[in-house]
Amino acid sequence: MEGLYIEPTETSPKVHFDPEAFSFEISGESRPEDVRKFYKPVLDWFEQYSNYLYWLTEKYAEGEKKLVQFHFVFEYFNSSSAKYIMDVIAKLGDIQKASPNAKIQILWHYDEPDEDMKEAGEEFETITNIPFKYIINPD
Amino acid sequence: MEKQSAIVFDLYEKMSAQKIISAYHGEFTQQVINMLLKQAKWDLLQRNTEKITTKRTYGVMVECLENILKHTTLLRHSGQIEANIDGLVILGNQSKDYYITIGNLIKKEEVGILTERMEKINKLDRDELRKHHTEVLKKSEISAKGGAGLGLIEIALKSGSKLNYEFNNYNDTLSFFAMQVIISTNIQA
Repeated sequence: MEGLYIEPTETSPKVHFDPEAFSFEISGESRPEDVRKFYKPVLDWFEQYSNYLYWLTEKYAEGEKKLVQFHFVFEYFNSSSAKYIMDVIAKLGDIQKASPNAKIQILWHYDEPDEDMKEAGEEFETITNIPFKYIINPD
Repeated sequence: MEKQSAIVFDLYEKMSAQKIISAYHGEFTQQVINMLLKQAKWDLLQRNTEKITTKRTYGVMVECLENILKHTTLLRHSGQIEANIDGLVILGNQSKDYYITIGNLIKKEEVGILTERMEKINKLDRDELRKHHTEVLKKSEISAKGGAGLGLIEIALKSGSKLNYEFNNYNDTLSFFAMQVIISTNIQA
C-alpha cells in the first residue's frame, strides 16, 4: 500500500509512514491553524492501514508476531492538537485489536529535561490504555 | 492631538521599567502569531534560559496568542467592526521568571463562562489540575472555536501559577479581558 508523507511546516509536524519498510514517524511541532484539516488524512490513512496489516499478518503461523513500531517525536504540540494526537493513538489501539498477529508499539520520544512532554505521553497512555515505551532523545 | 514623540518616549520608559522583552499591539492573524513565536524563541535563547523554562514559556505563549486570535476573529466575523478588535501581548522578565500579559476584547456574554473556567482552574492544586486536564481531554469534542477550554488548563499547568485576570467594561456589548501569567522557574513536579 502507499505510504503517507507530509513534509513539516512552521506549524505542522512531519509525517512519514512507510508501510513497506515498517517505518512510521511523526515528528516536530504541531499547532496547525486548522487542526482537523491536518489530522483528518492521517486518521483516514490508518483506516486503510488497518486492513492492510490484517491481511499481511493474517496468514502468520501461531505465535509468530510482526513488530510494528510507531515513533512520536514531538518537539511541541498545542492544546488543540492534543485531542487529535489522542485520536491517532486510539486508532493504533483499534489496529492492534484488529490484527492480533501484529504487535503495535508506541515509542514516545522526549528531550531529557522536558518532563512535560513525558507526562503528556503518560497521559495519552492512561487515557487510551495502550502501552508506551519512552525514549530520551540524544542531545 | 498630543505630541506623538512625547507619547512614544513615555511608552518606551514605561516598558523598559516593566522589563518588557517584547510587546505587540495590532491585528492577530496566524502569520502574526508565527512571527511573534519565532521572535520569542530567539529572545529566550539569547537569555540562556533553562530548556524546560523556554519550552514552558513557549507553550504558554502559544496558548495565549491562539486565545487572542480566537476571540478577535470571532468578533471580526460577528460584524462588530465599530470596535477596535486589536489584541495586545507582552513578554517580560521579572527577576528569574518570565511573564506573559495579554489583552483583548470579548463579548460580554462570554465573561461568565470564562470566569467560571478560570476560577475552577485557580482553585485546583497541581495534581487536581492534571486530573482536570485529563478529564477535559478525554471528553473533548473540539468545538468550532477550537480548544474546548484545554488551553487555559495548559497555561496554568505550564506556568505553575494562578491565572491572574481582570475584565474591564469597554462598551455595552464588549469587555476588555486582561490576563497576566508568570512562568515560575521552580515548579514542584
